[in-house]
Parts: sequence; C-alpha cells; structure tokens
Amino acid sequence: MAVFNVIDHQETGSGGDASYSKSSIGTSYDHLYFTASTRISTSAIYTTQYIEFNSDTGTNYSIKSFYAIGSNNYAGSNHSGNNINYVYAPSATADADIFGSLEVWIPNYANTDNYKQALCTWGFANGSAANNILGTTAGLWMSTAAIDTFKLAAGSGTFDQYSTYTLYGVNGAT
Amino acid sequence: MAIVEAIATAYLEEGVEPNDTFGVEFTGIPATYENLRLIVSPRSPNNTDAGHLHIQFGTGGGAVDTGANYDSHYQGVSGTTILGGSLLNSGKIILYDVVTGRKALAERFGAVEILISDYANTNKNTTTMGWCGLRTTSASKRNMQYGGCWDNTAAVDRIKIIPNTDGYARGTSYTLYGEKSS
Repeated sequence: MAVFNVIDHQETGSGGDASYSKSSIGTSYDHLYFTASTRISTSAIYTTQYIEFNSDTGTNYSIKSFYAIGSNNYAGSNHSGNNINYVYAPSATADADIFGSLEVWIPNYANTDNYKQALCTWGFANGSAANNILGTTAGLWMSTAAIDTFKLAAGSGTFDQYSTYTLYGVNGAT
Repeated sequence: MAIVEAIATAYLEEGVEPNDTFGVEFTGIPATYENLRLIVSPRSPNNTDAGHLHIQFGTGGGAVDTGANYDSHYQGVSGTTILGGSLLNSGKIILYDVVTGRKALAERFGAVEILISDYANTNKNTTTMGWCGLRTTSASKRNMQYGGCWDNTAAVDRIKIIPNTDGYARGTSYTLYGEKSS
C-alpha cells in the first residue's frame, strides 16, 4: 500500500467558503496529514483559522502556540478551548496574492485509547516586517474517539477563492 | 503511482566547491504537483559556526529571479535566546543560520525542510515555510522556523539554492519532492 494517499482535495471557488470539511474518514491509515494554502476575507492583516474534529465544539481542546509577528515573539495557550486556534492566515489587508501555508500532522488519529494530538505549522511573509507572521501550534483534542471528520474554518469571514486544501492518509511499514 | 515523488536529488561528493556564488539549481520542474518539498543537509567550508541558505525561483524556462522580489521571516531559539525578524525586498529568500560551517564540529550538517505551497497556481504569490534544527558545537544549537515569499504569481519551474558564502562542503545533499493532490 502506498505511504501517502490523497483522501480529499478541494479548492475554494469565487463565492468563498466559511470552512473546509471532510467527513467519513476511514480508519485504515496510521496518520493524517493536511496541507492548505489559504487567505481569508476579513479586513485584517491576518486572521486565525481553527480546526475541529468530529464536529465537536465543546470545550475539549487544549492548545499551545509559539509564534512571531515581525521581530516580536509571542506565546498563546488555551486549555479548555472549543477548537484548535492560533493558526493564522493572511487576510484582506495583507499584500495582494499572499496566501499562507499550513500543514498539520495528526499521528495515530484512529486509535480509541488516547487523546489526539495535532501539530500545526503555519506562516507567511507579507512584504511588511511588522506583519510577517509564522508559528507552530500544538493542539490536543481530549477525546478517545477515532477521528472521522476534519474541519478547517476561518475564524471570521470566509476563505478566499484559490484557497486549497489537501488531506492525506499516511501509512507506516506493514 | 506514488503521491509523493522525488523530482531530483543533488549530492555533492566531489569536495568543496570554491565558488562562493555556486548554487544547486533544479530546472524543468513540472506543474503537476500540489506542493513541493525540499530537504537539505548542508555544510559549508565558511569559517563560521553557521551560515545562511538562500533560495531563488524562476518561471517560464528562464533564469531565476534575482530582483528585490523576496521577503523572509524567521523565529526560533538559538541557545536560550528567542529570535524573530524579517528581511524585505531582498534578492532571495533567506533561511538564517542553517548551513553549518568550519567552526561547527566535524560531520555536523544542518537539517532543513522547506514546503513550497501550491507553487504552480498563477493566482498566488509563491510562499514557503521551513524549519531547521542543528547543533553545531556543544554550546551552539538552534531550532528555527522560516517563512518566505516570492512576489510573483507565475508558476515556479526552477529553484536555486545557494549558501551565503564559500559554497558547499562534501556530503551536502538536496532532494526535491513533489506532492500530488489527486
């Protein structure tokens, strides 16, 4: 069996999308890997995106983020959040044609014994020192359920046209 | 067919390159992938602890763009010092302090991964995201993250990777992967 398998790929059209979501994810892989190239319509330099699993909007997420805006470093955390946030994307007042990069690893997503960890790496350079932003966010979903639905949503506004999303199932050695 | 494919590998085994402008260049990159991923294990003969790695892009079969069309951003930890900063309107994307130099312990190479997202989409500037970890001496160690932007919406078909000075040491390697989305 191939190591990397495309589960789903989508691109936002001209009307924008509030979120990307993939349901009915099988349990046949060892890990999930997600990449996106996104921009958000909100009138700001950057806006957070957030991740949810299995449509769970309860206070079942814990996150820790380390990021830089320009030359300043910041840390963010939330130990009873409704989702995994602190995952920023360029928005309407960022330079034109700038889309941010995001990748997310979700190891052992289908196990039913442990809570699920997600490691998110994201960022973009923006042509303005004060508004460049990048960081890493560790997210914990405090559920032992197998992940069968993955959602990435704009914190406000919608994802712009040409935003792309790809979800992979990744296998180890058999 | 595999979802992740190796497009090209460059492995420098002929010894130190003397030309300080020497760079490894991948050309003819097809537009058939969703993302590109570059894995670099670099070392330089430069008399430093660690130096920078530069990246330039080209399109349309032409040479790489050397104009002031690149922005770079970084954050991370060097020893116990937290770092953050930017370089704008430069002639290349810069990944700070990822190429180990002569002052690093022998056989220490950098470890660098660079994601080039949706590189063939002509509605987006080309953005990169990368990270590195290295320990050059017992006292010097780094964990860094990098963002980069090429202010051009053209599809990337050429990538050049250059150390800041003195070329590459023997054993430096580069592998470019393409990641499909269907």
